[in-house]
Amino acid sequence: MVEVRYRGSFGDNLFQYCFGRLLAERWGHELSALPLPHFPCTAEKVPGRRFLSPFHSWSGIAAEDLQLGTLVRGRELTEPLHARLVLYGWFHRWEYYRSHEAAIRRWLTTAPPDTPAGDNDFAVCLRTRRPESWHEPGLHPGYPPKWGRPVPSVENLTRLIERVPHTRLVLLTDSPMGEEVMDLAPFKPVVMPIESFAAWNYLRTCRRMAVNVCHPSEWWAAWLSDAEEIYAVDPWPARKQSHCQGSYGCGWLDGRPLARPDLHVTEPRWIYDW
Amino acid sequence: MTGNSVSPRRKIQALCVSVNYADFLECIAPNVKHFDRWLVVTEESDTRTQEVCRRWGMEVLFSKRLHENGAVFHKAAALNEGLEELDQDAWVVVLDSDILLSHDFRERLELQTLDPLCLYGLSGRRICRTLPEFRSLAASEPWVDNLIHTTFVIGYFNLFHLSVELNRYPEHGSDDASTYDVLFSNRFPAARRRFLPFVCLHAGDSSHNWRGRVTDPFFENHDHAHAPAIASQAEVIAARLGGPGKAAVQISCYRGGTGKTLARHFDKVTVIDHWGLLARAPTPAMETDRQFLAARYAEETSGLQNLTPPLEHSSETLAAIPDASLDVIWLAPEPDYDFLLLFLPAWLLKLKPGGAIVGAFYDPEMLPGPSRVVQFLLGVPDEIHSDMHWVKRIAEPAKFLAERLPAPAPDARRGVVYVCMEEAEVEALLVSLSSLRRHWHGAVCVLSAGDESASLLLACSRLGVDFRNVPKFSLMLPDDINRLHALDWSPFEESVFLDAATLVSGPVDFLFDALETQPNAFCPGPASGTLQVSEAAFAWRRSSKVLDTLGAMAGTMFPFTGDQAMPFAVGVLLKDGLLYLLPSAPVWSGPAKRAPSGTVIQSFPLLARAGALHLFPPWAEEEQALLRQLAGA
Repeated sequence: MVEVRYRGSFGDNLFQYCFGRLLAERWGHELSALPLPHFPCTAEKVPGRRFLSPFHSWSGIAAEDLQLGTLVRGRELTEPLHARLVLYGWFHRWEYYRSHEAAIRRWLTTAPPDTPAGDNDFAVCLRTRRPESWHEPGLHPGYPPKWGRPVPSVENLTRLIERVPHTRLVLLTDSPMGEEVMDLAPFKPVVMPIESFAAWNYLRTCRRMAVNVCHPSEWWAAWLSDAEEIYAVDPWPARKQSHCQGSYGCGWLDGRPLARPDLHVTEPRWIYDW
Repeated sequence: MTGNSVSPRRKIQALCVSVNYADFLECIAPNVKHFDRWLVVTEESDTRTQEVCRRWGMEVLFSKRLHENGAVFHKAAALNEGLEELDQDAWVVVLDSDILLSHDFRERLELQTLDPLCLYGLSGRRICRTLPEFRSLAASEPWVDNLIHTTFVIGYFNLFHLSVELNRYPEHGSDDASTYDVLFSNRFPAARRRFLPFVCLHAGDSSHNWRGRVTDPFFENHDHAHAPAIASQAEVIAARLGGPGKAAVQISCYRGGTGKTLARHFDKVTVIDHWGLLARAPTPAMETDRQFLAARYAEETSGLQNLTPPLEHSSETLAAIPDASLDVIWLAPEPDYDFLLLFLPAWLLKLKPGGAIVGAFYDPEMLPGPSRVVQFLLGVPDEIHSDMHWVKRIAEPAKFLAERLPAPAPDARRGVVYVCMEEAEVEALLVSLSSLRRHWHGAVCVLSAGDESASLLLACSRLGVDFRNVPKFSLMLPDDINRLHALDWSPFEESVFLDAATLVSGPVDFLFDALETQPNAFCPGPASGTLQVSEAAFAWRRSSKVLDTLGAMAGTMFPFTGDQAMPFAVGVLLKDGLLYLLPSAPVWSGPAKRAPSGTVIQSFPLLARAGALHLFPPWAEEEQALLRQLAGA
């Protein structure tokens, strides 16, 4: 039996559900997970083998065995664990999902948005708040959660907005009255609150968008979309270039190299060097 | 140097600092058998520690640097003095002088592959706050429940090879024992910090003595530390419950002792592999250890014809055991709410009428946690033995199960939803729930946002109320906004939210009725002057977008308005006509005596306090009776 215990916000929960369901279906185990709001297919029963014990728990940004504090990889992910497995982590690695896009698209089917994006909309996500997963103990010491400067920077965004053809700019932000939004006022943007499901559902219908890879809901909207151009900010230092500045820092202090998120999608539509 | 009865392939030395810690050191002195030598760094004035060392054959080193430059308790310096004295071509276990290792630690360690460039820690520890708890657990391995895990290798157990470069503790940073270990661990690259698949017992509470000993003595008389263990009553209990034709199931196997006991008294004993002796372990280190434990168990139980091999604890195994076929269920692991809530519905029906559940770890004073779980889910045991074994006979298992763990109403279309954000709300919520049940006989769901509340889960299980542990949306947002996001997880097409701090004094159907013409209905408390979610009742249809809009609006406003974000958002939605305000005011959040007639829902911020119960004398007795029932009294 694979049990999913959710933590964090909407985008995190998508990772957690998909990771649990992938494991359950691969292993032939029963899945125990609350259905995700807005995604009716997540209420489907996933039948299979059910174990009352022994008990294992995997947590972490990647899958880590709670007892040993070690990453779970390769054979450990593919061969069934004859145990009750409780997932209480983040699982922010594209490697887990990349080969299962068709299935995941079906699980995460949702009602179409009331107002889908127009063909010439350019959606830009402007965040001032760090993702919940960054609170993972042990990974990011020294960075207390706080409201900070936006990612990406206004200067970089301005250059991008000037370059990408569009007729309507839509800013999805958690700070609609922030000075960064004011700085972008000359572009006459439509401003939407980014934390709503309606905004997420709109974003996934856009053909062009700029997103922060580290914010899971944006990553999901982009990956599940049929967008042709996804301008992505990937803040992790292993990558060649980062537009991540200011109080966010650019990387993981003392992060274990394999334990950190890796949502770098190697598809042509994902554009990192902009 | 003495006490070592092992023929080691590796030379393993131990080192600890013990100053005014003789009571704890006495408790963990049996570790001596694991080491080729054990050096204890202490002070000349600490004669009790020296006495313990003499009795157990540990070497003593008097520290010259523990208070160097006025330091309070410079543990790193003292450890480095000790490291200088040890053999530099061998392994060293640096452990706190309150850490007891497994009885077979050395034997199992020898099977592990160790890399001399790595720092090794243990994968978990069990804190034993009292000597009786420590003694009872020391005598009953494995220690698998209620462990504390850390993501770092920290100082209570460090194993490393002294020949490597990183072989001394950093002495800068602090003059006590609070950080030296983290600094040391950080000096090893992440890939070279590893965990051994073993756990330990921690005598006494943790994290109090970083600046020298401040905690009370663990015991007064050192004889207490090693008094003879209380004789196991398993043989006596098995003899009484067993007999010709009797069948038992043994949940969990580790050593062969319990199996041998049961095999002597029951015709058939089905053994269930609770601790994963059979299951492939997820990592090579665990797998190595598992194979050793499995082989040892097989050897210790070989030749017992009426004992089955360990079977998987799976739905297939359960299906193969007929209902009402067992005389005894013998439960070895420590009772844990999470496990028992899975276990009881699966196994109780296998018990014959009048059959018994036998368990261990029951002592309300010494082990209040597991004892309360047993009381809550099974009632006070019929027999409680001096070695903490307990026996509960179940006259009619099916009826017992239906009464103790009634199933929630399945797939209701409409229902009432509560949200619990923290443990402090639990009592108020239960009082509110009891008042609701006088006026609402439909489905109820309790959403526990954030860390799962065990007490609430148990209470809901007993009451047949649907319980859902849901995520707390954001650690940075106030409870009112997180509460709103939690409501997204309501299982109902039509939901009514009630706050935990409300008493219900009439039918709440009016809120559902409003949904016949509106997508939502909001009912604030008129006396509060605010529009906080926690002081309102409201209804919504799943298809309504009101929660999404309200949550997004409040989250967006939070940086600018702080705690007023939610009232602001409600105000905006009301102004925009997106929120339907019920014209009458059946919710009251002012003083009870001023509540207008027709008040249905009354909000009392201090409902959890006993005083709130006395506002309604006719109810007080009933509420109290419910609470007593919930407490299993």
